[in-house]
Amino acid sequence: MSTYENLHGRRVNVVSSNPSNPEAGEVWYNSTLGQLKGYVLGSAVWTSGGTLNTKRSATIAGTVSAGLASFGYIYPPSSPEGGSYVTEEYNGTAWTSANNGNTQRYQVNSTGTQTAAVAFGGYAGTGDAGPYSVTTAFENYNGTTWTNLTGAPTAKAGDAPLTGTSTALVQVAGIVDTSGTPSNQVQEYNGSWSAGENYPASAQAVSAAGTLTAAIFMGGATNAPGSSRLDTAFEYDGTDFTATGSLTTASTGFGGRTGTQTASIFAGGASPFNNTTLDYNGSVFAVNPATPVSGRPQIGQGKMSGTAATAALVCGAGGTPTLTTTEEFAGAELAIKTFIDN
Amino acid sequence: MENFLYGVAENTGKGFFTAEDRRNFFLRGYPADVWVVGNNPKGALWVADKGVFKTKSEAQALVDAEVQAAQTAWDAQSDEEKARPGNNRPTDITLP
Repeated sequence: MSTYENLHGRRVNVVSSNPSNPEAGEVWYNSTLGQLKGYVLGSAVWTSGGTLNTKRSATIAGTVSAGLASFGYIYPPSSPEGGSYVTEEYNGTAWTSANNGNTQRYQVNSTGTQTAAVAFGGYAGTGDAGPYSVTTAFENYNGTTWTNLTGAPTAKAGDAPLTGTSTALVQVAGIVDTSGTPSNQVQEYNGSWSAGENYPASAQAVSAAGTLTAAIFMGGATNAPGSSRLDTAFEYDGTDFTATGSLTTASTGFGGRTGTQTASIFAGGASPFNNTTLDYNGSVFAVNPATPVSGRPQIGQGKMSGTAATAALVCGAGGTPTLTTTEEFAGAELAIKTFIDN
Repeated sequence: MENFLYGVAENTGKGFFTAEDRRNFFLRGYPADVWVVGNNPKGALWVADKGVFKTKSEAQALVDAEVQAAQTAWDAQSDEEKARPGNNRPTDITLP
């Protein structure tokens, strides 16, 4: 049997207190505590966050410490039932009410930060019976108030997939009518709207991360008969879509908009992936062992946000029952762990 | 020994389940504030601290009642409301 010394070329140090600045992978025996310890990579986890004040399928932007929940469909017992413009801000602990948006709507998508966010599209209307119509509405939030911006060329709903910042974003595919017809049309915003190259599939519930000029899109579903879920993923450089590593299983409805084209996470797709987290490293998708706990029917792209692959925020959910609970993702990080406790 | 414990606890928000909890035991949330927890000492302590234990059948009955109530409410909607995008009929849930 090999020893630690044979494997690592040195013995385990015996110390009376933990080293103040350990190296990654360092192992030591703390004689005071009688414990074998090491400084190693821990596991990523999802933990509980604050609870939304208004029960609705809000879209999320911002970060785990400065989040923004806006719009969405309000479900009883919150009222009035129907499309909403309710806005709440998150401080890493609790959600507090902010000023309403301008157009009441749901299945909206948003991006940006708590003080510079935009929200696009959705089904606009009020009340439990509607009527509802797909909207081009595009609003900017500056940390205090919502302002109407020039609407997108094409109205989209279904958490119309988008990623980027409030001033530079790309929106691909999505639903274009109340019958749920998916589109392959792409529209970009950088202060004004313009058309982009068509997405390789007419799809809805595609998930996205990254920026206008370096984005990753994955999964989704078409309206094709039978199994319509997609296992494809594409990178976008601001001009062209290029196929990248496929999903091991076709899936749809993952939360995204977290991280970059080379380091991002996606979580909580439609069944059976409700509790699944995927990592993307710029080449391939891999299952992350961290699992969100709540049985959200699917998170949906518009209901998850973060600025890095190591920190994400999920709140509400698509479908019924909609939740008010928040979960926060914390990526794996180096930490002191106890291996043996005498 | 059974793989899971069952309990009812209201999610109180931040700190309700922590990173340490997630690393110590399996945890899944379901309608009616039902939680399925890995059957180990730390999982048992969490249920005892946060809520009350239920048997699997008791927990399943609570989930069923909540889902059936949501299904009944959905069924009572007009055809126009049922056809509203994203308004899917709640599906049955079977606890592990």
